[in-house]
Amino acid sequence: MAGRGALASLWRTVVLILIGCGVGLAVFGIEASDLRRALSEDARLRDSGLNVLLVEKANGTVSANACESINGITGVVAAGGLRFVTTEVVNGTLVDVRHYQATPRFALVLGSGDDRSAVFVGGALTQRLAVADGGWIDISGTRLNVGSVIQDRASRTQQFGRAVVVIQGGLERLDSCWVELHPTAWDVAPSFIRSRFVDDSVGLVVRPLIPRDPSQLTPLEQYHRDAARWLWAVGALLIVGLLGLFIRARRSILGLWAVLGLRRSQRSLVVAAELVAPILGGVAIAYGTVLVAAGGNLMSRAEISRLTYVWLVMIIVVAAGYVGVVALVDRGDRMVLLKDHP
Amino acid sequence: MPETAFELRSVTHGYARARNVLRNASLVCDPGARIGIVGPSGSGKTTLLGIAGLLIPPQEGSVVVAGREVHTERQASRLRREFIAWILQTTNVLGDRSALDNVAVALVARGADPARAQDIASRALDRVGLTAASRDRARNLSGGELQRLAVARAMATQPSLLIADEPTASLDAANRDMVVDSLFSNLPTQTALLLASHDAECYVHCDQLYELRDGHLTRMA
Repeated sequence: MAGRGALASLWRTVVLILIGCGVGLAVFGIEASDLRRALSEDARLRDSGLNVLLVEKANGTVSANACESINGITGVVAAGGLRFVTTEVVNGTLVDVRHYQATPRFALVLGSGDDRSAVFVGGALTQRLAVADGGWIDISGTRLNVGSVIQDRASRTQQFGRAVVVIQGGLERLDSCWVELHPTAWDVAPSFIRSRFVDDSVGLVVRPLIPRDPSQLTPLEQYHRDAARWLWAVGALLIVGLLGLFIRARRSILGLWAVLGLRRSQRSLVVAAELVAPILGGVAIAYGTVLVAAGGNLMSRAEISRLTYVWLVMIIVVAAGYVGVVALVDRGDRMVLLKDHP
Repeated sequence: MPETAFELRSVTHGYARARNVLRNASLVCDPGARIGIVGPSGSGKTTLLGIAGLLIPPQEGSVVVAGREVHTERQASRLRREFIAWILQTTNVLGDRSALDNVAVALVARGADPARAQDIASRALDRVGLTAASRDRARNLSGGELQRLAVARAMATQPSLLIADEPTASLDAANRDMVVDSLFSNLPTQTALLLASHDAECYVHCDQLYELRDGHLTRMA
């Protein structure tokens, strides 16, 4: 019975769907755009080494075993270290090359995504020497096959532009240990990292690769504090307001339902099917459209969960508003409602 | 079958602008009684019907329907559904739905199976001469057809109490006669009728007349 009401007045149902869709597209579109911008900016900062800690000693080296042992701890993305070997001339040119040896997991901290190659060469150097992935480079009298080029990623790799990093098993001491963390582990990381370097504790320095101002928010943190966070509330209130107008316009019909003997719950169901469902259906279409529109440029889990959160909160607010509106209308004098009917 | 279709017991009711629309009004309506309420415009006839039909809770006094005194809205809602039907002065139909649906909805609201409701509704429309219009949307019907549709809807539910508030308002003579005829010729013997109208034709079929004036309800000779 309730569903037939929605079908009976197709134009009203279509208008309600369009309203829901319009509001939804505005809310989800702006949310997705703002969130994507924040995530992109955040990713750029992370890529440059925002979440990387360096473990060093002022005048000395740190244990390679301790550094490698940090891998596997919850909150640690990867940990690896390196040792400076020498600066030398390679391939018979006069190009200065900084030669490093590194532990196996350092490749991950460099962010190449390649943890199988043994030789990593800085981007500037490969251009200068005109060698690419799979090429050869002579260093310290040894001919090495270039595994990966170290891409320029700002702070994280700036010192490796003209470097050759050779992954070497069995290193004992390192100049520095690099630890990439999940953002959530940032605050607790220094203490558990220090606990791994017990033998090197004197003079041990744990510092961020990129100096951080604790009061400065990351783009993502800024987004969450931003006004856009409450855009869903504006959208939901707009829908509740429109819903109120539609319900008010149909209050005489509500009165008629009461005269016909429908219970309050049944009347609410009728209104839900005729008015609320099309509006929320429109919002759902908008939600799906925004997800599909981003299909070619797949959304991150964070974006999807954020939009889903917005969608769920909007449903709750609209449902609560709907109950309130129906209750208010239902309190009216039914005889007046009936007499008002054109 | 209860002894009375409904009773008003010392009902007093008013509004902010009209404090004493009803003053200590009492009325006993037996099953099958045809009661007409007479009174000038604004005398409170619709309020009286609203209270008798359990749409308006009285400020003082009580209402008994089908032998049960009504105390709560929940109770009123159930009694409205089970015992009472309305024909209203305004064209209260679901304009988006067909005439058949408008009648069937009242039956489904009372718990009837939808298929059976359509069947009963179809016969009810037939009795008031609306067979041809049964599939038309209610908003496309004329004023006279709408009131006959309201009659069909009310009759289809076989109510114990039928309340008709100005059922022939704004109808021409021909349509008025058709509505009055369809109303009284289809009214089941055991259904009590409470009618308010400005149309003397409607009262011809009533066996009791009450006058409502200055809040007082008095039986007319």
